[in-house]
This record gives sequence, C-alpha cells and structure tokens, in this order.
Amino acid sequence: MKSKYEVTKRDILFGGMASVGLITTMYMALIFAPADVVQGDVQRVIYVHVPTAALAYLSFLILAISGIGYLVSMNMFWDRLARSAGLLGTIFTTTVLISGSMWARAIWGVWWTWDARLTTTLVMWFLFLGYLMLRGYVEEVRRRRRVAALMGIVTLIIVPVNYLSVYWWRTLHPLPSIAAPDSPGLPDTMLQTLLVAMCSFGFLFFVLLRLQMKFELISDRFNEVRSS
Amino acid sequence: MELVRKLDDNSTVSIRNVYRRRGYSLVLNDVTLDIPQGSLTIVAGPNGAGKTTLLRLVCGLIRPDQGRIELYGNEMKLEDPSTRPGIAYVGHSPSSLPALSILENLQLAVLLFGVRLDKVEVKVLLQACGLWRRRNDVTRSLSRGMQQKLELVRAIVTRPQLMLLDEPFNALDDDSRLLFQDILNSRPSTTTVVIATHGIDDIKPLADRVISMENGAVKDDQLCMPVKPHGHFDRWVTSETVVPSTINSLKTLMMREFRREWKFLDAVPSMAILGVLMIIAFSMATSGPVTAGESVAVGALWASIAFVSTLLAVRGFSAESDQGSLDLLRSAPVSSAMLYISRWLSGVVMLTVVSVMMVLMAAVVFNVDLFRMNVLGIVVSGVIALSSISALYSAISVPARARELLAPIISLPATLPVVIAGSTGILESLDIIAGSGLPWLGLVLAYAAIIVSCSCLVIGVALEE
Repeated sequence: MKSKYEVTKRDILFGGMASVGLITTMYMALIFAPADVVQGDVQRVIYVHVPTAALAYLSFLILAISGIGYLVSMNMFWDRLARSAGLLGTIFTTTVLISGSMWARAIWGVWWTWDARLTTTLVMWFLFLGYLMLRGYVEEVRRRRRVAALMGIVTLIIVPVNYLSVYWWRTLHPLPSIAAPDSPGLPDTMLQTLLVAMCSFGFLFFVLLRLQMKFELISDRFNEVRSS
Repeated sequence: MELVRKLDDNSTVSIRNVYRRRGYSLVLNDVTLDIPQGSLTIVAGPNGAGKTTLLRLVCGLIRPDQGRIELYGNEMKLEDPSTRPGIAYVGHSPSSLPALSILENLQLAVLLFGVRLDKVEVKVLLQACGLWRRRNDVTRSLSRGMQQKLELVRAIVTRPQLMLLDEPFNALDDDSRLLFQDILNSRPSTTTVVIATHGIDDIKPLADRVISMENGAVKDDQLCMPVKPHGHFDRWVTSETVVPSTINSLKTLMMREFRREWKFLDAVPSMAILGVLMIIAFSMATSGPVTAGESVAVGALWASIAFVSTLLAVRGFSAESDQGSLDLLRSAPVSSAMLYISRWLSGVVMLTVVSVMMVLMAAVVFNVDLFRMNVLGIVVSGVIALSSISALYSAISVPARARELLAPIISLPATLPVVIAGSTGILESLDIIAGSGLPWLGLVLAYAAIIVSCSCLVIGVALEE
C-alpha cells in the first residue's frame, strides 16, 4: 500500500494530463487561434493572463474557505490547504502581473500605470506576500495557523474590489467581454482556445495544489519527528 | 493531612486529563489533579516540566488541546469571563504599564477586576514591602525586584479567590521573600494559592501540597501539613468573587488607554506628525505649473489617514504584548470582545484628533474648502472604520515579528474600501462629481459595523496563545 507521503500513480496521471493540456493550449494559442485584428499577436497573452487571474481569485477563495475550516475544526488538512493555496496564489498573481505588464507595454506603451484594476491586482499580490510573511514571522506553529486562518478570511475582501474595479472607475483595463450578454465577445476559435487554456491551467493548479499539500504534510511530519 | 483531604471535596480547580502541545512538542501530558479550596499548592519541577503552561491553562490564558478544567465546579471557557472570576495571575514578566505610577497601576488593576481599592490595605502592603515612598514614581523607574513586589501587591489587592504565581520570589531579596511568604500564609481561608517554582526549599513549610512535574506529567503528588499554620499579616481583605459590569470594564479599559497615551504621548503626536508630513509631501510633489486640484487633495488626505492608521495597528495589542500587560488584560474577567471594543473606541478618539489636524493641513496647503459638515462627517466615519481595522490587525500581528512591516501590508485590503468610499464621498460633497456624498458615509459606517461585529467574534482566536 502506498504511503500518503508518496507521489502516487494518480498524481503522475494528473500531472501528465495537465502537461498535455498545456501543450495543447500552447498549440491552440500560437497556431490555432488567429491573431487579433487590432492588437496583433500580443493579444495571445490573454490565454495566460485570464486563466492565471481566475486561479489567483480561486486561491483567495480557497484561503478563506480553509481559514473557516481550520478555525471551526482545527483540522490540519485545512491549514495545509491554506498554505498551499497561499503559495500558488502568489505564483499565479505574479504571472498575472508580469503577463499584464507585457501586454500593457505593447498596447498602452507603458509597463505600468496606476489603473484601478492594476493597482488592486498589485494589492492582491502584496496580500499573498503578507500572508506568507505572516506565516513566516510567527514562531509558534499553532498561533501561526490561527492568525493565518483569520488573515485568509479577511483577505477575501480584495477579490470583489479587484473584480468590480473596472466598473467602479474609469480604467484603461477592458471590461470583461466574454461573459457579458451585450458584448460581441470573442470569435469562436479564440473562445475555444481560452476555454482550453482555462481548463489546462485549472488542471495545473489542481496538480500543483495536491503536490504542495503532500509536501506540507511531509514537512509537518518532519517537524513532529524532529521535536519529539 | 486530614484538612487537605477534607478540602479535596471542595476543589477550586479540577484538572481532568489535560493535554497541551506547544508547537510540535507535548508540554502537558495527561495531567489530572484537584486543587482544594484554601490550600497552598506548590507545583515543582525542572525547567520545561510544564509548570508555567499548567498555570496559564488554569488562568485561562491558553486552552487545553484535550481534557477539561473546572473552576469552582464549572467548566472554564476562555471566551466566557464569568467562568473564570477572581483569579490573580503573576507571570514571569511585569504586567504593569511602565508609564504609570505604582498607585495608578494598582488603581486600574482593581477596577479591571471589579473590586474597590482599599487605600489602607494598599498603604500597609506598600509600606511593608518598601514601595510606599515610591508610590508616585512611574514603574519603569523601578528595579526588577521592586516591579515583582508590585506584581504581588497587585495580585493581592484584586482580592482573588485563586492566586496563580509563577516563580513569584525569583527577583526578590531575602527579606522581601520572607515578607511575601508571611503574607501568603496569612491569606483568608477561602483563598487558594498555586505557586510554580523550581526551588521549593523556602516555601515548602507553608505548603499543603507539593506536586512534582517532569516532562509535562505529574510525577509525584505529596500532601503536607504546613509547618507554619498561619502568618502575621492581618490586612488581607476578602470579598465576594465579582465580575465587573460591561460598562465599567469598558470605562476602565479606555481610561487605562487614555492615561497611557497622556503619559507616553506616543500615538497621537507620531500619527499627527507623520500625517501632516505626508500631506505636505503630496502637496509639494503635485505643485508646479499646474495647481493640484481638489481630487489630489482628497486623495492625499485619505492616503495619509489610511497610512497613519496603520500606526495604531502596530501599537495596540502588540505594544501590550511587548510590555507584558496583555496577560493581565486577558486574565481579568473581561471578554476579548470588550478588549477589542475599548481598543477600537480609543483608536477612534485618537485618530479623529489626528484626522482633523490633517484635514486642516490639507485645506491650507491644497487651498480647498474641506471644512464642511458633510466632509467632516465622512472623515469621521472613515476614521471609525479604519480604527476598527487597525484594532483587529493589531491583534492578528501580536505573535509576529516585523509587525511594522506586516501591519500595512496585511491591513491593505480592508483599508482600501474605506479609502475608496471616503474619497468618492468627499468628492461628491465638494460637488466635484455628482452626488451628495451621504450614501458613501452610510456605506462606510455599515462597513465599520461589519468589521466590528466580525472582529468581536474572532478577536479571541487572534489573541489566544
């Protein structure tokens, strides 16, 4: 019987599926989907930018849910889930910022502007950083878990602020055009590519979350053994 | 021996199968014991045996991972101060406020515990331990030994039913040690004393019972007959165990906060100077051929107010924790929600004073008419919300290192909606954008109400060790 600490066949299978999905996404984004008439090839950044942004939001949601879960049950599973989501959220938000900055440079002519959506995304990034710092700066593990759970719940406030920022202020950042009912939306090929990209990145997130949780489990066990 | 056995039926403290971990280590391992009413129990053992953890559990500063603690026959609950009344805890570090005098500290302590200060008792105690002539001196000027004496006096004047003393005689000279042993030995028959110490030779003659601990477990439980049946100190005052009313607790906590600020003068001046400097810096940065408009003035004002409010987050509970006084507050029969509310309200008062100065400064340097009732209303509502956020984050960051860095980062998401709503509200009030500004005022107040309500629910979790 496999130990819960080991990488299982299922992990390898999921990893393989995520890899296939990402290769497919790459093919569809670079070859299958046409270049945008106005923006040209740089618009292809959307196939990384939008899925990673959605997964950054998802990380916040997981942080909040696992925060509530931990405070209610004091079960270590929730804490490990929060730790893993915090780390992945930082990585995905960094990707959003970098991809967005590259896109902005090509379209707006600047790497950065104090636009509402950009600013609130930067705040999101600082929040993930703050969350990881808080975990690093509290020595006593149980207290660390408790205050991190609280912090995880409170940080969820930023998600609606970030999402609605484009409606609340006049911004350079475009409004969501895919799901909006009165919007012309994307051509079918672009939409299909974006959906494949969303699924692939979602799968990648799921696989990384599983592996990171295993790593956290091993880390907890190691610390337990070391201190006993 | 018989006395103790008889008293066993009437336990002040019952500890049943208690386990407690610190980090990954088991600090208490299946501890079960009863502490009879009126007894003097010594908890002995080497460093790391779990003595302090045991006392902190009984005091309600930490909760057991497993097991149950009963006080006077009722299960103790951390979140319910009425289940842990009449406890005086003296820990390793002094809990008095360093900027206040001995008398002020004692006065606030008794109010916090809901009893009246007996001036004669205080005088006799302070005279006996040589602190009377220093009674008006601030406690930071006292030696470590004197501070420890003050801690013991503080514990006595709060008229506890249960005294939990952790290495109480460590910093004391021989005469003072004998004096306090005599005082403890003169306690009322209903007052229970538990002393945690690694050296029991001095106090063993007073003890009804000696519990030896090792590696978190009770190794030996020895009943004794006190050699000295009663001491000579006749100024112990007994009273019924009381839980102060909510209003009185709030009043005392806020009075404590304002007295500290009055003496220390660390929050309001530093926030005011930083805020005014920020507004000046914004004004200088945006001056030039094109004069900055009202929008910039409002943005600069809110950015500055939000930024200085993070100083409250750094200060609040974290400063109490650094001074060692957080243990005193948490061991008092006051709920965590009340601690939060007092911190929030005192923050509102201080931040309002600072914000009015900043509004004045912004009005002058940006040449904008900000002194309108609705503008001030929105600023005050924003201050109410920001202060509630600061109080919550000061609790969250208590156990963290580098709080000065953490507080602004982690409080950012909660602060941002206030800044947005406040700025828009003022711009509407100044007729720069359409609207009356009042809906934003309501929105900020509703937001503050949500933060305060949620904080009252979770603050115990944040402050708990």
